[in-house]
Amino acid sequence: MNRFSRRAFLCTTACASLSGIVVPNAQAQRRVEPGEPDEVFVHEARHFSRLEDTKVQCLLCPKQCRVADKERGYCGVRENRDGTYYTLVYGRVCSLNVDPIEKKPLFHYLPGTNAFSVATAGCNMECKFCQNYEISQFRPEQVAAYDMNHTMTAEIAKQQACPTIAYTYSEPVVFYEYMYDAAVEGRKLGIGSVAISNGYIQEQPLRELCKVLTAIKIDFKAFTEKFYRETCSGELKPVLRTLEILKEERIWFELVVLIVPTLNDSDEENKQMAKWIHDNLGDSVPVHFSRYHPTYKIRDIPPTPVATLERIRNHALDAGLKYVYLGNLPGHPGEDTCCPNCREVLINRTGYQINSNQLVNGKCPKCATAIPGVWKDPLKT
Amino acid sequence: MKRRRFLKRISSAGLVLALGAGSARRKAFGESAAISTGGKSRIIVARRPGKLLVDGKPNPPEISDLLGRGICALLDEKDCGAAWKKLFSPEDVVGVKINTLGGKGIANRPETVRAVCEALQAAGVPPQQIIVWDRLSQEMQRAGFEIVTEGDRPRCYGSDALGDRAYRRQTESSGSIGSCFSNILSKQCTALINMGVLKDHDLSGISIAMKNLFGVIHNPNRYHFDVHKDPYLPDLAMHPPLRQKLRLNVIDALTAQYHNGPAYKAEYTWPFEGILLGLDLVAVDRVGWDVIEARRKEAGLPSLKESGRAPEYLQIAEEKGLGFADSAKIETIEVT
Repeated sequence: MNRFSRRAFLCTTACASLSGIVVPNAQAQRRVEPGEPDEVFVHEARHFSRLEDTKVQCLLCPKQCRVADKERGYCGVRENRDGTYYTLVYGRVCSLNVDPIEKKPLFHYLPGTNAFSVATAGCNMECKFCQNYEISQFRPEQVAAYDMNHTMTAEIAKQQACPTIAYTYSEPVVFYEYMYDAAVEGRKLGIGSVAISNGYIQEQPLRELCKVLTAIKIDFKAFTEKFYRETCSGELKPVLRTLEILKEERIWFELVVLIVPTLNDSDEENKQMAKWIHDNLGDSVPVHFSRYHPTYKIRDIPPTPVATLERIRNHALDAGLKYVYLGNLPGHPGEDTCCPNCREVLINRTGYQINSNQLVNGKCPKCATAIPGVWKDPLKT
Repeated sequence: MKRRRFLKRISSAGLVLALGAGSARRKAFGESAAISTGGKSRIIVARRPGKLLVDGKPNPPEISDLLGRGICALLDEKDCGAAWKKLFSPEDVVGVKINTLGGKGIANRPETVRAVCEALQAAGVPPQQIIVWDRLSQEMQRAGFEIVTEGDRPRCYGSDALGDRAYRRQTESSGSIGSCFSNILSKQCTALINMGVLKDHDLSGISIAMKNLFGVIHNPNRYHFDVHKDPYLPDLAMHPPLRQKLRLNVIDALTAQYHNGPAYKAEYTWPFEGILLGLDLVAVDRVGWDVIEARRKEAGLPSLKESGRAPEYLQIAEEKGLGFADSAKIETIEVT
């Protein structure tokens, strides 16, 4: 059988997506093949410090890579050149698409709208279950891309009638400068920006980012340092701090937890996680428990049983969380938004599709309970 | 030349050439690093101060001659051709993995690489079956190498020249390493010469033989943290396809750097004017480390251990059976 490789598929998808989009600037259609060096994408990084002997220290994420001249940080997309740190992926867009906002998933943010979704190569973690490893775990020059700078990104989003730009698929923290500038450009055109992130970012860049984004979804990997360290090459503690900062900054955010059997599916761990969310972030933060499928470096664990997800969801509801969803289970009632007061189904979903939306001005039509979320475009008066 | 045509040419050539390569030499040498009496690993330190570099420029006749003497000493042969034939056959497709990150200042010299290629050809390996390579063609060009993809000359290009076929699709695991390997190594070559340089490295302590192999995987940045004491480098070298193909280590040490690597820093380089040869890449690193330490001491710099980046991975490599890190198990022969 002539199998279609995942990377070829992703590249083809990107091509197809772009070809279906009328690009306002011919330059945006310039495709950059793997192996083609291109200085257009090289921009000075914003969060780093200079050290002795032309070394630098990255201050963008908690890894705080100390990088010698000619070397790159852990993410593989930032490089020290003679004592200055550069991002290599400014506008080097390797994936783009128009997605339902529900795909992110953001369930309490402009439901039923589309997000112009972009990504570059690279990530500051290495999750062994990464669904997009063929872009997140590769260096920029190893992945086909399009030249699409921040201005073009905002223009195309507007042209596609998307109220939102989503920075997603890989890890937007590593393409911070491009994301930040595109978000600023988007705002000028009345287009919001959402980041789909692992939350592994330092406080200062995060707080600056919160000023230009309209929402964030955090992949909350687990509630143990062991899982973060051994399965994701990251740390839990900085992510907890990120969540606290998001609450302080009053930006809308939702959480997704991918449940991987035997690794992060214990009752005890998930009860503790739910309690922490409730006590530190409040009872109104939407939490999505999502079904894992074998991929990348974890191929020997079968998909998460539905019963496991339902059990974990019940623990979260028991902990007092009001909006707990199940993901990657199309058609399951756990996809619906229900009124926490009268249990009326407010938004009925199947997968990424909205079947019905009963909300009236963000309230339950039956009991008038206000449902937290961003129900009106925040950049439209 | 059109990019697509170029890609088709180099990938199909590699595939065709890789077929039918013999394994007798692999059995003879690839799995065994120790060839000296007493079970020691033999490492050749070949030097001609004042002759390999003339006015700072490589001197090809001297380099070729010294390389020949070195390989003969390594393999107990009187005839150079016979020595090279012990390791490589006319059926082999020989990859010569060089190190060009440091640009012209601290990278393999084209003249040294040419000497190796000429020796291989003299031993019967057709020029089209020699592939000089590194990660990126652009870095190779910056170091003075001409990109060659056709004709009657050895090929010379980076993994990235293969475009989206630069690396294998699936990750392969080897201990703590999980990476996609270059298709030049995986699909095009039947044998490998690991041709590093002799330099200090900010994270691994040294970049000589083992560190050069980071260039065969797609994601070395994942393994740079504490790489001087982690098992990443030994685990990579243990990867069976790599280990089976690696026949020889030739370290281009015409110029060496004892501090502030891996980038070229002129103030920390010196004309070592030497070539290190060995079948045991761990022992090569051990000997090279000693050279760098001696120079650091002369310059009044703290040792790598005092700097917190001694290459402890060498001991891990020895424990894994990859080679010898203990100097007592290494026979160092000086050749002039």
